[in-house]
Amino acid sequence: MSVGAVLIVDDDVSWSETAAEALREAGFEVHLAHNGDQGAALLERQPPSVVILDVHLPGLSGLELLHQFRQRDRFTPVVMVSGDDQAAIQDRAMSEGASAFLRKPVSLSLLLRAVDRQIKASANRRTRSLTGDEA
Amino acid sequence: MRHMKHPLVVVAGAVMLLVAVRLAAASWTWRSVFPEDWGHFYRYLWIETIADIAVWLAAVGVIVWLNRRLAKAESDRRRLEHLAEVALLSGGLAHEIRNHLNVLGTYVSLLRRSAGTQDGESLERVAKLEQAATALDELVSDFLTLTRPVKDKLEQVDLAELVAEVVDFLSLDLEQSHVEVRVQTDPGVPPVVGDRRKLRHVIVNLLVNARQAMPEGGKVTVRLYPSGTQIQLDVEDTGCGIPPEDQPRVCEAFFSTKSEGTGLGLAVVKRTIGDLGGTISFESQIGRGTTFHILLPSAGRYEAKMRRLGRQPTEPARLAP
Repeated sequence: MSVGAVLIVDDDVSWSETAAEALREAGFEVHLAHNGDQGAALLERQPPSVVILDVHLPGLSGLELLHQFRQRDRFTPVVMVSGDDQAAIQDRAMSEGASAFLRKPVSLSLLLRAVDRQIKASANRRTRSLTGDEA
Repeated sequence: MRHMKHPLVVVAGAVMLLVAVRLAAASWTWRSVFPEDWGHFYRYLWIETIADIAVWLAAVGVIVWLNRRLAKAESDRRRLEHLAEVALLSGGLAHEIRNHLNVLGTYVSLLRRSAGTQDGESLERVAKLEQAATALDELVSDFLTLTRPVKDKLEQVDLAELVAEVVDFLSLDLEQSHVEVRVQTDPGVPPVVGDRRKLRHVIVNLLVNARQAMPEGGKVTVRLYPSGTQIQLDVEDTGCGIPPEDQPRVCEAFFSTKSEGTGLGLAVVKRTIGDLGGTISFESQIGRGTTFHILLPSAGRYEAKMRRLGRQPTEPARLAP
């Protein structure tokens, strides 16, 4: 039984496959998409526990995809990744509702920690929202 | 005019004429009061002269001072007019650039589709194009924030909560760079008035700047506390510091020491803080770090000021949920 499902949307095929491998070893069920439209289709079908989303994607960009996704789903944590180190991009990601940001290259250990932490945090948020603690 | 006299000649002539008139007036006054006693006339003349010089010096001083004030006001006005003109022009330009960028983006994604998945080299080139287009788009939107007076959505913002949110969002990013973050918030810091999105932009910018100043890792401390009727936010890093020669230009638009980055981050921060009646300053020491200080009026003070100016206090006093 898997500990959760992770969707990785990244056009860097070799990195995303390595990351998928590491996450599967840690017990996660992993889905991969290599462009924005593929990612949107997979999100539509079945929302995962965590999304790892590249900012620069062919087709629908990561930020656009995030924007669309947040219209329907407020809780599923989305970790944005980008090779660009600009405050403006991080700010945009945060205002679109991303939960965290990682700069490429992302080490596998950091990725695992990020996914782990996001799953715990989202469980907390859902509980708070169900018990009515959150406005 | 037949020929120009040297200004010094004119001045000397005027002074001599004045002195002659003053001398005549003084002696006439003296003669009408003490017609017999010319012995004390010289002493009287001395006093008169000193008093005259003092009056003249004061007058010249006032004229020079007024002149300078006027010249400064005039140059400020011209500069503002010039800036407004440039802002208008460049705002239009930025919109134009953005329109063309959209076209560029569409064709680049078409190009990617036609390249298929087999042609690795083309795909890499297309990715580079896309990155450049995104960077340009970011640049244009930052620039538009600077030049176009966007209607802010003002509300009362709890900075402590906002800082906590941003730190939470950036925590993995900071961890990745081995940057330890510490937040010290005074309990019960009053809210400020501002556009929540823009204030968040300020905090994100300062934290990302701090992290970028510490490529080898380090510590960033965020302090939030009341300071009189103002709220102070300090962001202190243990990074490389800003060289003294760069310090005056740090908040200028398009000034950047980084290879990435638009050079607009701090300019936008300064603009946001200034628009809210606040100030930003910093102190920095090479090799020891930089501390940014932001002072913002508390919501109470801000609203009182708006009322005094006869403007609407932004919103009914209500804490943002």
